[in-house]
Amino acid sequence: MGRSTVASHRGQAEVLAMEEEVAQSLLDAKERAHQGGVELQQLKAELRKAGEEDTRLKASLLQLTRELEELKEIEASLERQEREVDEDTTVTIPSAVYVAQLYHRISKIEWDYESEPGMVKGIHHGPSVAQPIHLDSTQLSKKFISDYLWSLVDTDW
Amino acid sequence: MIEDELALFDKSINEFWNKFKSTVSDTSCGMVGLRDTYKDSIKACGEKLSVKLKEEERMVEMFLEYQNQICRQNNLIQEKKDNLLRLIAEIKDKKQELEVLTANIQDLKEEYAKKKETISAANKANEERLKRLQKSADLYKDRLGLEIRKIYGDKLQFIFTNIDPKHPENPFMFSLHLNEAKEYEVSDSAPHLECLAEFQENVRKTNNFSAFLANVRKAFTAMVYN
Repeated sequence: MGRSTVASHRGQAEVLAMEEEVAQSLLDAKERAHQGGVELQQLKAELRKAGEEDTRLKASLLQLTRELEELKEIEASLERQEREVDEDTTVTIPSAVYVAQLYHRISKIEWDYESEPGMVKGIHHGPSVAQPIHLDSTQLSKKFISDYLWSLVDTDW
Repeated sequence: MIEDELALFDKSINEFWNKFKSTVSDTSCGMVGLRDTYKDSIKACGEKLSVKLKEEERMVEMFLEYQNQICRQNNLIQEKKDNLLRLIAEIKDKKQELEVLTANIQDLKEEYAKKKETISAANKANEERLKRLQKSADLYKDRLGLEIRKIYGDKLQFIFTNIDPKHPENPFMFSLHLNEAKEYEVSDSAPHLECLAEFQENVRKTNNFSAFLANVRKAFTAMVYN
């Protein structure tokens, strides 16, 4: 009877030890699962944050792209303006210069641009002498003035 | 005497038999009791073992569940880690792109601001120059009563006014252009001038354009007075 009691006690101890081992494994597994859950939550939070930043960046990029488009329009407008200035410089102004010079060549008259309004003042550059011109247009008819000025121009070929 | 001994012997035997019977029956009861106790303790043991077995089965179940959960979690964790890495890389790319675009836009803005200024200054200068030139031409036109116009076909049109004293605004005009031989060629005079052909020859010879126009005007004026 004594031998079997001892044996049964030893058996019991083994079983207890095994039970403790199993319980510990179970607790460890539970802990690992819990930690896994925590890590998962952290990852989800990081992903959310990153996702938000990504969205913000996308919006910024979109806005900048639009700005770039607007700038393209500005560039086109500037090119148009440059062409206009070019036309003025290469066509309109030379044309006006030509006409002004033609008048000068024809009449040999140089106007005084600083004279008071109503006064026809200038110089006629004759072949030998330079003759001043000083007429009061408020007192004289247009025809008179024209006739007078043309009278200064030499009709000799 | 033998009967007394027999009677005594009989009594002894009966006593012994009764004692034996009761002892046996006691022992027997004891044995039955022991057997029953033994049976009960076996049953209790069995029950305890059964509970333990169920507990342990439950523990194994839970353990397996945890294992499953952990496995699923690990998969999810790996997936989300991969996603996160990818997203971080995309964010980095976008940040770089943003930098480049910003710098680009800044450069363009500066360039355009400069261009705008240049254009504005050139425009202003041109405007002023044109204004002066126009003013000059206007003075000549008004005072000389002569308008010079560029018209189609590379021609110049000369329009005299202040010729007719009764109608100073009446125009007297003709057109002029350089022909293929680079010579002056007059045309379309209104009103018609006879001497215009002669004047054309003269100006071709002398190139005195000033005299040419003076003479044309003189001729137009003479026409009116006739």
